[in-house]
Order: sequence, then structure tokens, then C-alpha cells
Amino acid sequence: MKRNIFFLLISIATAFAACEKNYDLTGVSSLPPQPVVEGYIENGVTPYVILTNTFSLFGNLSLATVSNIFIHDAVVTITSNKGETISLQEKNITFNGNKIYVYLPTNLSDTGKLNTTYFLNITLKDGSKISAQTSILTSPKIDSLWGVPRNSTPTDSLVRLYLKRHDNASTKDFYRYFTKTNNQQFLPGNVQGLLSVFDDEYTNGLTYEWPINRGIDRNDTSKKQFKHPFYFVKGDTVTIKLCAIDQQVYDFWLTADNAYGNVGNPFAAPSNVKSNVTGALGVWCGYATYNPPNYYKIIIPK
Amino acid sequence: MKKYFIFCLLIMSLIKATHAQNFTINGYIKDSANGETFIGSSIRVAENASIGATSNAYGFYSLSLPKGNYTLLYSYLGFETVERKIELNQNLSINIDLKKRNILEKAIVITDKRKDESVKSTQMGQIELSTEQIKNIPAIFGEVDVMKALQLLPGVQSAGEGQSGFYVRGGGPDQNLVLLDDATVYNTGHLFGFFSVFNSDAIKNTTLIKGGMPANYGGRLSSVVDVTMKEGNNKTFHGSGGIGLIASRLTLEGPLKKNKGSFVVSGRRTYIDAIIKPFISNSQLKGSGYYFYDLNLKANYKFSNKDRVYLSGYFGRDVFSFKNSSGTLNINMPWGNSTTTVRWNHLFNDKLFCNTSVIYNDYQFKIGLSQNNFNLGLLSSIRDWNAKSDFEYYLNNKNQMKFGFNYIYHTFNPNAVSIQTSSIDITPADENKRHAHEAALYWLDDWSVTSRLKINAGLRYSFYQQVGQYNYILTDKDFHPTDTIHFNKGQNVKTYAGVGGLEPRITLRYELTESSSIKAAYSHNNQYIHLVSSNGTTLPTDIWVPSTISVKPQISDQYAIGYFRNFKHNMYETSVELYYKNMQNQIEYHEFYVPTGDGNVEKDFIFGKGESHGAEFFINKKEGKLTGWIGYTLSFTNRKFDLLNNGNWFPSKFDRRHDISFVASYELNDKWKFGAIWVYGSGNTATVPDALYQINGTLYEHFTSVNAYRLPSYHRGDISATYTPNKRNKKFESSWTFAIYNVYSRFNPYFVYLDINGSVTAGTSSVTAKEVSIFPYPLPSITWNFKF
Repeated sequence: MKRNIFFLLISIATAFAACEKNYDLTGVSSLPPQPVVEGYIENGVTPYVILTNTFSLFGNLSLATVSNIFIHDAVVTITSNKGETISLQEKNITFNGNKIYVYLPTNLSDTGKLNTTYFLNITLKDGSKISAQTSILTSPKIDSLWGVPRNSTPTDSLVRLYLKRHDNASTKDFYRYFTKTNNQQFLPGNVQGLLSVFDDEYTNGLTYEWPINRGIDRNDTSKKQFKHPFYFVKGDTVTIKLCAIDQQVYDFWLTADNAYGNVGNPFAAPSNVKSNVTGALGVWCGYATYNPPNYYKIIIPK
Repeated sequence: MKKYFIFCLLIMSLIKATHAQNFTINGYIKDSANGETFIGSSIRVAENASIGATSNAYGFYSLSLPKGNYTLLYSYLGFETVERKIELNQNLSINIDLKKRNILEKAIVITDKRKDESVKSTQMGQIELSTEQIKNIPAIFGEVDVMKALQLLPGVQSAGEGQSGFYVRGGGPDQNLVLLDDATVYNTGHLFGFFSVFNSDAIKNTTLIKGGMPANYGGRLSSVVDVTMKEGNNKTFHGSGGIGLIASRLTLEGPLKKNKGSFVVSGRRTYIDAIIKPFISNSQLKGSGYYFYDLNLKANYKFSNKDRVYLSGYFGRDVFSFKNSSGTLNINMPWGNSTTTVRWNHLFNDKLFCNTSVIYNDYQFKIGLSQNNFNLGLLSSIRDWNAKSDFEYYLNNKNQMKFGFNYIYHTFNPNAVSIQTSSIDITPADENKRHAHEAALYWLDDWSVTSRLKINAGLRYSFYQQVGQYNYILTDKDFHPTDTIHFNKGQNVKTYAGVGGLEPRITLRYELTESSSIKAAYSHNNQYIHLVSSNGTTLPTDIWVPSTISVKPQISDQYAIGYFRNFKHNMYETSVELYYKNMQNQIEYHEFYVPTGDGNVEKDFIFGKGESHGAEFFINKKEGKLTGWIGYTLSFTNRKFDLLNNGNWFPSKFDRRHDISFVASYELNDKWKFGAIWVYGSGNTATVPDALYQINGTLYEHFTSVNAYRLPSYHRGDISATYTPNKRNKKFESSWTFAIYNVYSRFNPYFVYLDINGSVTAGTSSVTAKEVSIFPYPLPSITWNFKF
């Protein structure tokens, strides 16, 4: 948060003087393509894995090239510490009107289970191996959810959402959360400084109340969503998806959110995203949630 | 160690042999107009050019000579030389007041043969700048700044556009010991370094030592910046001040008792907040405010010819605040230094001068955020209690010794978080603080071995101990905490002492001719406190951490050799210096570091080594209508960390291949003075991504090589003109300074980043590299200064 405030501060100082222009980075060395894993497994939800390659800074990012980043014909299996095996196969699906390639279970009714560790094993066409491990922990519960109007003006429609829950004292806990407003998609949360994860550093063993900031769409750069980044609106139906995650998954999202927030910040040092995958970049992410796919819902009174 | 004792004994015996029939002349050298003492003014003996002395930090000098008749010449740059004939058959005390020269007289004085410090002293890489000199250098927004002036010297590199932070010979900003009247100043910049904390109206003198640090200084690897506040006019009451574009200043000074004691009070405040308010009323910055202020205070009183007491203090704050339109979000963020120094000068006898200081200094950075019923506080602070005694023993005209001790009790609070909500009340635990004792003993001798060879040899012994309360948190290879070891209050956590605490320092000067010499220096330095910055700039958010059980002291060995030559009766000083420096236990953050505000900052550190070498060229014209200098530095600075850059050497963020500065000031007549500077620096190193990848449609950068890319070079020219109208009345004087920063509109890169937008999987992504320049256009300023 300190950095974000400073970013604001330097904006003030340089508002009249600073100048931004395009810069030619040609000549910067490029890494040969590396595999990237994006895989999710959640209790009661069908797991899926997306395999892509890294690409150079100077490639053309048109739709045609985007379809070239997918890695095809890999052998993908998930095994668990309880002896279960799930085979995945490549499917071509349409997402936001575009074709993308996803590895889905042969049997779509295969889902993740609570308190289970899952191993992801991938063999690429060239024989190279990728592996990763993640756990679906115990469902994190929320005791209650309620909204508090931003101020007492009746015409002000903005509402801050709060939750009350109890944190287990005997474990070090890590969480990621999403919010969904009405029929929109789930958006990763914004605890502070664009982080979607938090831990129990300050809440271990406590029953606590905490504000829930509205999630941020990291692919929407219109900046409209940053006008009132914390608030929901009276009459909204809000779904809160709170996921318990293991420490490696927490590290991945913490470093990924940090990297996302660092874009354009001169005070931030370049930092890599910490993968939990061996042989590739990316994440193999286990989510433990309560009551998927409905999760926790609240209709904010008008 | 044994060698040093033998060396000491040898010196003592030599001293004894030459000691017998000498008499001593001592006293203080001051400005006749206001009683301010001169630091580094020279006393020469006309009959023997090789004998002389220099006044110390309190204007005191002492000179021992055999019985006889002598002519003593007292001089200080810009002041008339005073000649005093004496018959020396007993110890004498002579206080001298020097009068300021006017321009016309300068032409004559140039032919006067002066003792030349640059060639003759054993000091290497030491430069003194008086505030008068600095005032002629064009400054951004017209704010005269000692820290910016230092960056124009060879071997000293600016940390970035407008930054007060600087790098000396490849060392980080934390490797510079910045002292204000003996008190350590941890954060030297206002507004993230655009302005230094030193209000030039309150500053008398600034000394930079960048190599061959003498043994009386320690605790840092790269340099010492010793800033001395003005003492105040001890004859009559005066005021001075200025009104500038963004800040105004006022200084009042006068006698406490005529010729016995004086005071000076100086204040400065910005009004940036008031100026920009109308411009941001419709932007997302609405509701934000920012200002900074400084207050300097100093008083001194001479109780007797042997005792003088000084009290000095500094208090400065930057304050940023933000309040949203509905008043539900409030951010208040103050930060700044405060220092207090009490000093007692005591003259034990004609030859033994002692200064004892008790110093308190404090740096705090706070954030308070409140939103509805949620309150968040962040505090990062440093507090030092410091006591020191420095003795100067003017044994004879061949030996001047210094010895003393220094003790500091540090309390660091690197990151303390407090949270209050309806159900949570977290206050920072005491174990979050780090406590440490730092102590040092030193001895040095400035010894004229022969008329040509002079040696400044010294030894410093430093001791450092971290004590409880402290929770030592052990971590695994992923930087995750695994276990905690608790230390009770006062319990020894880790001691760094023994042979490792010995810091030998030596400088040799060999005079080749009357106007040229060669010098060589070696110094070994330990540094027990560290500033760990993720990006190389100096921000108030940067965290100072002391050495702990897991953070070892930084250590350096520096070797330097130089050739010094003056021309035209010392009107031109020139020098070439070569240096090599290696540095152990350097600190960086690991490649996955995320600043989370966690109090356990050490867990994200990784350690490595560094080396730096280079050459510095300097031509300085000290007198005449046109004065100024040209400095050029060629340097190479690299680092090696097992956990960065695949364990290979990489260029440090302090690496700058070429650095040129050109500084000129010209006094046309009594009314007009002009100043100009031009600086050039090779581009900064930068870490740029070598690949991109997508997760959930969002693009992320991948970095492999550290600092492998170089930004375009930096260069800039500034000009200024000062107009002093004819005095209308004797009591009031004023002047106008007009300055233009970045006069030829150079777009210097402040930083370069990848602007990543849209979703990859939706086909809406775009990636563009952007360059941001700060102050890319000529920035004019006007300042009105006055004196009464």
C-alpha cells in the first residue's frame, strides 16, 4: 500500500511536468518459448488445465497469434494421494467468442475433493515432463455477510460489504477470494494494493469482521472499475467465493498480483512470479470452497 | 594488531625527540563580519613554506614552532589574508578575524602564494564546499541544495532525476554517512528526494570524503558528508530569507551576548499544496495535499577561552494527506528527521582540543489510514542515542593526532503494523524492534615524515552487538518462516567484534614539486546498518535495518592512488584518482519479493558481494571572475549473488560508465552573477522482461537477466542569473535569482516500463514500451532573496 500511495504522490508532483512517450525496446534479448501451466482443481468442480507457451515482447498479439500460444497434444493426468487418477484431454472451446484450448477430464463428472492432495503430470510432445502438486484443504466458512452504506445520504447507493468469520488457531491459513456481482463473472479480490490473497497473520485464532472489497477485472483497463474500487451498489446480488489455498498457491497469486500492480510503477522493482510447477512457469491451483458453485450469496437491500 | 602498537610506539618516540624547545600558537579564526568560525582556513609560516596548520571543525588551530621570529599568514578562500609578525618565546593565543574580499581585489590576491590543501594535505577524495559556492549553482525551482551540488563532483553520482540520494564510487545510498552537526541524518530528501533536507540558509559548510576515510569517521563504506550548521552572528542581529516558487525561507540570527554567544533560527516551508489545489479539483487527486517544512536551530556560548558549548537541532517533516469527497477515507502520512546535538568544546591546554557531543536523532515514517470503522497504521522508525568524544592533539609541527570514542544505542522499528476494527485490535509487538549497541575507538596521526612525505595513518576498532528483545525467525529456502527463537530484553543476540572490528586506514602523500604530489590510500570499513531498497532510489518508504544475527555487517576494502597538480599559482587545481573497492555482505531482495508490510523484513534478504573500480578526473578553477570545475568519472560496478542472475556477475544499479559534470559561475560585476551546469551520465541499468506469458488472460512478465539493459544516457543543462540591485539603504539588501532547469529540453528517461493492457484470450491485449520523463521541458524559476 505504501508504494501505491507513493505512486499517487509522485503523480501529484509531476502532474504538470512529467511526460510519457513510446519507447523502442528493440534489441532486448528474448527467451525461447517456455511452457506455462494454468490448472485449477476445486472441490465439487471439474478441474481443467490450460497449456500455453511464453512469447516474445515484440510478437504481434492479434487473435491469430494468440491461438498459436496454446500447446497441443500433451498427455495430462491428475493423480491424488487417495489413489484416484483423472485423465484429461484437449478440447477446443469458445470463450468470450474466441477459440481457446483446454485440457478437461475425459469424464466431466470427475471433480476435486476436500482434504486431498493432487499431483499434476504432463508429458509434452517433445517428451519433456512437467509436474506439480497442490492440495484442496478444508472449506473456509463465513459466519455472516452484511452491507454498510458508505454514508447516511439516502441517495448514495454505494455499500461496503463486511464478513464475519472464525480463523482456525492451530493452522497457518492462506486464502484467495473472488466476488461476483449479479450475473457477471467472478473477479479476483482486492484486499489491498490489488492483492487477491491474504493470510491469517493478524487474525489467527480470532473471530473477526473484515471489509470485503469488490473484485477487480485484471483484463479490463478502462479504469472505470477503479472509480469506487471498494464498493458494491444497493440492490446488487453479490456472491463471495472464499478459497482456502496452500502456501505455494498463495505465493503464486501474491507474486502475480504484485507483478500486475507493479506495471508502470517506477518505485517497484521487477519481480518474477513464483511458480509451484516444476518444468514450466505458471500454477497448479487447488481451491477449497464452501458450497460450490453457489458459495455465499447476499442481496444488498435497496 | 601487534604491528600497530609498534607503529604507535615508534611515532611517540619520534615525537618526543622533536618536542623539547617548541612553543605553541593557537586560537580561533573567524569572519570579522559575523563571528562565524572558519572550517579549514589555513595558517602558514612565511619563513618556512612546509610548516602550516588548518583550522578544525570549530575554527580552532594550533601550531608548534621553535623559538624565533615569524610571519604568520592566515587565509581563507574569498577573504583577505591577514599577516601577523610574532616573536615566539612563549606560548601564544592569537584569534584572528578575516575580512571578506571584494571582486576587484581578487585579481591582486591571486598572485599571493597560498598553501595549497589539494596538493599538500594527506586527504584524498575530500572536497569542501561552502554554502556561498553552492549558491552560485543553478538549482531546480531555485531551491539551493547542498546534496545536489555534491552530485556534481567526480566519483559522486546522482541516484536519478532530481534525487538527493547519491552513489559514491559504486556504493549504495546507505553507504554515505550524512551528518548534520554530528547527528546522523537517515533520510536526506524531501518529496522523495527532489529536495534535500538541508536548508541552505542554515548551512555553513559541507565536506565530502569519498575515499581514504580517516579513522575518526566510520560506520559506512563509501563516503562521509559532514554538514555544519551556521553558528549565527555574534555581533549584531540580522535576518535573511527568500521567497521562491514553491517554498519560502526565513533565518534570524544574532548575539546572545556580543562576541560571546550567538543563535540562529532558520525555517522553510513549501506551498506546493496551495499552488496545485485548483489544478487537481477535478481529478482523482482531488482531496490530496502535500507540504514539507524544516526548522534549524543553533546556539553557542563561549564560557571562557577554553570552553564553548553548542546546542543544535533540526526538525523536518513531509506530510501527505488524502481525504475523499465523502470523508470516509482518510490518509495521513507524515515522515521526517529530528536531531539534537549538544557539544562541548574544551581546550585542555595549548595543544589538546576536545569536543564531546551527546546526540539524539530520530527518523520516522508513518501512515495512518482510516476508512469507516477500519483503521490501519504503519510505522517505520530509527532512534539513536549517541555519545562521542574527539580529541585533537597538536603534538608538534610534524604530528597532529586525533583520537576518540563513539557509542550509539540504536533502536530500529523497520515495519510495525497496527490495525483496529470492530473485532480486531492489533498493536505492534516489542519483539518487532531491533536494538543494538555500536561503539568505536580510534586513533590517527597526520605525520610529516620528511618535507616531502606525509602519512595519515589510523586505526579504528568497531564493536557491534544486537541485543533483545528479539524474535529470530528462521526460514526455509522459499523464504517461509519455519521456527522462532526468542531473546529476552538485553540478552545478547549477536556480537560482531574481535579482529573483524579492526579497520586500518592509511593515506600517503609524496610531494613531487611545490605544486604537485602523488597520494595513495587504503581503507577498510565496516558498516552495521543498511538501507535495503528494491529499486535504488531513496524513498522515505525504504527500510533501514541494523545488522542482526542473520544480516552480517557490510565490509569494504578500498585502494586509491592519485596525482594532484596545481597550476598558475594554485588558481587551477587538477587531479586524477584511480580506485578499486570490493564490498562484502551486500544486500538485495530475492527475485520474488513482495513488499507486504511484514515486520520480519530480514526473511526476504539475500546476500552477495560487489566490486567497483574507476578513474576520476577533476579540474577546478578556484579564483577569478570565472570559477567552476569539470569532472569526469569512468567507473565499473558489479555484483554477484548466488540467488540472482543464475549466480553470475551483473552490473549493479549503481553502475554508471561515464559521468561528466561541468560547473561554471561568472561574476560580471557587483550586480550580475551567472551560473551554468551541464551534466552527462551513461544510461542507468535496467532489468527488462525477456518473455511474456498469460494466466487467465492477464499478461505477466518474465525476467532472467538482472540489469542487462541500459537506458539512454542522461544529460541536462541548467543556467541561472543573480541580480543584486544597488543598495538603497545600508540595512537592507536583496537579490533576484532567475534559473532555468533543463534549458535545452532534454527528455531524460526517468523509467521505462511495459504498458500491458487487455486480455490475451479475448484477443484485446496490447503491449507497448513507454518512457517516462520528469521535467522534460525547461523549468524556469524565480527567487527573491533578502538580508537585513
